[in-house]
Amino acid sequence: MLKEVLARIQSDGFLSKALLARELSVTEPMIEDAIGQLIRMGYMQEEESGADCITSCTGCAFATMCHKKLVTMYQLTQRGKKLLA
Amino acid sequence: MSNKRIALVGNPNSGKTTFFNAITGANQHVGNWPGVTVEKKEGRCSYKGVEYDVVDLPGIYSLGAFSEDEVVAMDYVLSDDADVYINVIEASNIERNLYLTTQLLEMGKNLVIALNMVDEAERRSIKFDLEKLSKKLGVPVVATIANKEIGTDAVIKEAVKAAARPHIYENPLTYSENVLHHIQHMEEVLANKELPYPAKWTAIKIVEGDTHIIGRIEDSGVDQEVLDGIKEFHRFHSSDNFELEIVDSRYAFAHRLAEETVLRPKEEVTTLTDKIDRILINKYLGIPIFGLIMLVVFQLTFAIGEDLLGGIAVFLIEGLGSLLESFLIWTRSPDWLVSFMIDGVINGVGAVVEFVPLITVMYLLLSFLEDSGYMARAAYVWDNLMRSFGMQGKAFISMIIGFGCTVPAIMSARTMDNKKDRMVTMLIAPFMSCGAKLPIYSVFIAAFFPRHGGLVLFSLYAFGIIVGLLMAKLFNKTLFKGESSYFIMELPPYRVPSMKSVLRNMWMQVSDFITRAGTVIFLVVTIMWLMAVLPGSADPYSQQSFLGKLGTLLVPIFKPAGFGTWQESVALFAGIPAKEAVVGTLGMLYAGQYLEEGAILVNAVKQNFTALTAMAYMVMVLLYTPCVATLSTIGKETKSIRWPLMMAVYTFAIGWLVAVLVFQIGSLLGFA
Repeated sequence: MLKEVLARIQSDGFLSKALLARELSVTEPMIEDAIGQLIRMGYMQEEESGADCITSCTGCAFATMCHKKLVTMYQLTQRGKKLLA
Repeated sequence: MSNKRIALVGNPNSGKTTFFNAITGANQHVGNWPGVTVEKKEGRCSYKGVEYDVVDLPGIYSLGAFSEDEVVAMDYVLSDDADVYINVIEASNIERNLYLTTQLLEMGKNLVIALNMVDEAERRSIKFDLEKLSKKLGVPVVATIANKEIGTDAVIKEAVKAAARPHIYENPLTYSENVLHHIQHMEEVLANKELPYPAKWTAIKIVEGDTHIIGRIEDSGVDQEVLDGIKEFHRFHSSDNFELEIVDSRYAFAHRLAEETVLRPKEEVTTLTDKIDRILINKYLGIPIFGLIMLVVFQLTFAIGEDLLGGIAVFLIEGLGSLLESFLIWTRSPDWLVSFMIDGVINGVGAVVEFVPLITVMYLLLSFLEDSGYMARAAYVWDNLMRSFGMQGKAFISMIIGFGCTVPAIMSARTMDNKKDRMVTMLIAPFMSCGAKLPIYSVFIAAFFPRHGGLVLFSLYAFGIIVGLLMAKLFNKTLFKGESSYFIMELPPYRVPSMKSVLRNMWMQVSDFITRAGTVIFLVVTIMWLMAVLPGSADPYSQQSFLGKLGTLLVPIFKPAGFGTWQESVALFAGIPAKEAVVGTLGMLYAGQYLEEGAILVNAVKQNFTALTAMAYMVMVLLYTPCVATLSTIGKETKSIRWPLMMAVYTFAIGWLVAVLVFQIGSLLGFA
């Protein structure tokens, strides 16, 4: 299942967890666990939308507009891509 | 003789603690596990007059060393302290819960399964073949409803039986041939050695590369030959994916088991979010619905922000201007101060502030969409289209952020690991119409398209997206070639927006707009005012002023686009420090020119533009060189001066070209 999760992300691009669960005929909590395991093992990483600065937000005129978390996204790491190669 | 010990183990929310309370009653005490802050609950239960010690382990999803709870549970299970384990499983969520079960079986633990909350599962029409489940797992399985104390005695009965009989290690999991080969090889290395844990399980954990367990083995004083064998194995197989394969075997086992023993209703329970999503993120309807929603947002923005509330802001600013002017004249203030305060501040900065109601309504509606969970879907529905332009759906999130301000939109591109995606997203972000451009459109819409404000605004925003996508395609074909990254995203459920959150979000944007009006715009308008009234030998606001001369130099550039007066040209120049300054500068210059006629900015615009030149001007504003803050951010992000310069030039060229096309084609079609 873990390889399938990675493969579907690579082939389908944007996917919701619910849709992925339906397509792989497993429950959504299983997909959540699988993603957690893949992150732990270094095949995926969680990313956040919104700005991500190395500089401090203190005093930044745009600080209020950053840090919007519209969605949580997960991306394949080099290790994940290598596994599927 | 000490009591036999029963340990309860299970996922969080499996009803494990309820089960513990049910079997121990008041006979329990709470403390902490040694060295950690994790709560330890212990108690006693009795069966047929014999007392048993019961310990409630922390709720965990798997046996690993990735959280304090997991380490506590793992160490307890490894200590072999309990005679039998009761694995409490949430019946409705059996598939997920079985992962932990497979790990316990892999460890060879003496297990009894309490399939808990079966009543809830029944309500959802989920049925179980307990006999088959028990046979497949090789352990007793009992259905329970712990909060009603149903089935708990039967579990204790099975646990007592299991604790009394000799336990035989049986691992029901099957591994891939490759993994099995290495496990068997490791078992040979470990054969006849003194080990702290069962050899078969130790071999699995070594192949899996479980550093927590390997550390424990190393610390236990095992034979040097074993340590060398472990090191050798990992040196040879450092790039293998055995851990993934073993974890996958557990999932496969849990999934297969659930498939074979659980009967779920054919019709999956669909949530309200599922039902809404079937329409809103439909492959074909998604983008048209997004367009329709945005059109409604812009129509409402104008209907409420301009038609209903706009007059109030204008009345207040103009009233303030009259009062201030009377006061300055009454106090015999010098002419330059009256000119600066009225022409510069009130007509310049005030012209920008007049749009606060419009901005407020637009951000209120966008915040409402965001808080409802819809905006997250926008990136999803745009993914396919974005991909055909060489972008990823994630870039659309940067574009949505760009509707507020381009600077955070550019910074949000940082989250893309792929340089190609990052660069292309940054380069097209300025085409997303930011909030600062809204006052400019509003002036021209009020002057020429008052009945179709929402539609014109929608068209401008949509046109910005189209130009952005076309440029992305061009960049992907020329400057940045390469593969896109892949993502999975979690869409939040739809919810009724919280007014507190919507208002807070809206205020963030509005307060930024007001702050900018009082700082950057004030500074730019002050500089423009000085340039418009100097030198002293020239008539203020005339073509002979410094600003007039600069504008005259720029006129030939914009003549082909139809807006060839020096005021219009110089206002675009003023928009480079900050876009709102276009309106501020026009307000100041036209006020100086038309003050005697008492014309407000909208009337002045009507006299200097036609509907066609207004459209060309708005397109120019939409696409031309972004503000200095944006260019500076591009410079910081790319650590180069080349990219901001390139962006300044290429966006200007695109804006100019499209504005010229709008004017020239419009003229040919007779709209002039």
